[in-house]
Amino acid sequence: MTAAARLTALQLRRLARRRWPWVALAAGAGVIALAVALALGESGGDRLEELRQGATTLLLLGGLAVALGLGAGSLNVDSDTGHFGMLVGAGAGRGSLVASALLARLVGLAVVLALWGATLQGGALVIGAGLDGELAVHTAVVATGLALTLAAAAAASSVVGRAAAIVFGAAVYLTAQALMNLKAAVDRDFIGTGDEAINAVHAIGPRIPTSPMLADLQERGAAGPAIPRVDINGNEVALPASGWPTIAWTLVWVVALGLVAYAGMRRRPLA
Amino acid sequence: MTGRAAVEAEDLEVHYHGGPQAAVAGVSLRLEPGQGLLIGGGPSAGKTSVLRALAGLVPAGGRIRLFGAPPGPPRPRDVGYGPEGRDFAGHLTLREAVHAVTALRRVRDVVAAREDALDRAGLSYVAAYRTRRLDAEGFRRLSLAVAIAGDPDLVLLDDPWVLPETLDEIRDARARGAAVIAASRAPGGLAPALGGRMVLVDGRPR
Repeated sequence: MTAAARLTALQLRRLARRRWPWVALAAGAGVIALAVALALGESGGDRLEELRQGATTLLLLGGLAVALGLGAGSLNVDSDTGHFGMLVGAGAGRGSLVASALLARLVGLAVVLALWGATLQGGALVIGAGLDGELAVHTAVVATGLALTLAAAAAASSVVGRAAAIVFGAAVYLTAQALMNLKAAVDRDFIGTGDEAINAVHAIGPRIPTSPMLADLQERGAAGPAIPRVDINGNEVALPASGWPTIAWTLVWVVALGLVAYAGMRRRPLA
Repeated sequence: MTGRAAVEAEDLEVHYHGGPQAAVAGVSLRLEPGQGLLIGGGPSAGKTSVLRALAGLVPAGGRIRLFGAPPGPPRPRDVGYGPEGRDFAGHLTLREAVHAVTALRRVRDVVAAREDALDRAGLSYVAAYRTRRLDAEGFRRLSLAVAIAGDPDLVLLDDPWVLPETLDEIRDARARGAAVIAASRAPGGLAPALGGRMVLVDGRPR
């Protein structure tokens, strides 16, 4: 096992022993139970729609909370408490520390989303809709946007405290989502001025991918209160489903933010 | 051991976050294998900053060489650093904490070296405990175990307590040819075991 793999396993073990991720996991399960109960109150196709609305809300808001919570404390806390100092003093490289901290938290986020996703599939079975493939795809697509948010908060955590890192991570998410909304508006000729600038910024900026299921819900105005259609110049903009290039670009940004985190940690004093 | 000094530092200077006020300035020291040094001084004298600079934890001006190489990894020889404070191994058991650092060193049998370090620091009977159950003395013992695991060639002890185990380890490390530097506000019985002594006042040698 390489030093980086050992450090990642160590970070995962420490993460699994913290209480709040388990509380978040349980709270998410509670929300899903509520969504299932509400869905059971509906009939026919409305049942699945109700469950999907609950799922999109949970995966967005709950996922953001978990991603920001994981990312914002990934480098600053261990730098200040002496944990990274202990490891660097023993011979660990700072690059390995950053990679292991980020990777462990991405795995933690993936585990939380996978368990929520599995619970949602159980909910779909309970309401009699069978396994919901579109919802599973949506969960995976949301995970990429949340990974971007986590990486942004982690990059900030290399130089600032937890609260500021949460603000930065949330700002990156909102900016990326706004870019997606503006790009969708440009593609439908809803803006007219500054289209080239929006296209250029969209081409290089971070993106939040949209799943086919969410695109369908938005198109019908049924995506739930957490993901409403955006009004631009008096036109309601529904996001189109993202393709593989957008998913790949989002993951490129995750790696880039990991490099930013390393740059921040390279000369950071460690306790 | 080679003929190279274990530690060479010339005009060591530490500024935190690029600030104008130097936490440490004008510190020069040289330690051969087998030698010991106690860095004393009051609160905020710069003792811990010197150790952190030597361990590669803080950026430092001047020239630092450990066994002829810069302080950061990869290092030509193993360095053992025992941190101050109580939070350096949060959410881990004592055994896991010592294992983590031992695995980073050039140790053939990590498990044996880990158990040996825990035993020598007097922690074997609580090795399965989480660190949050430790008292202040327990953390000083854990810091000692982290520093000595795998018998490194340079041992840096930050704020060690004067325990029989600490004195034994300093003597044993020097006897096998390792250099030892300890930073302590209350040197007590450490000075005789270490031999050399340097006192810092406001980050500068007195």
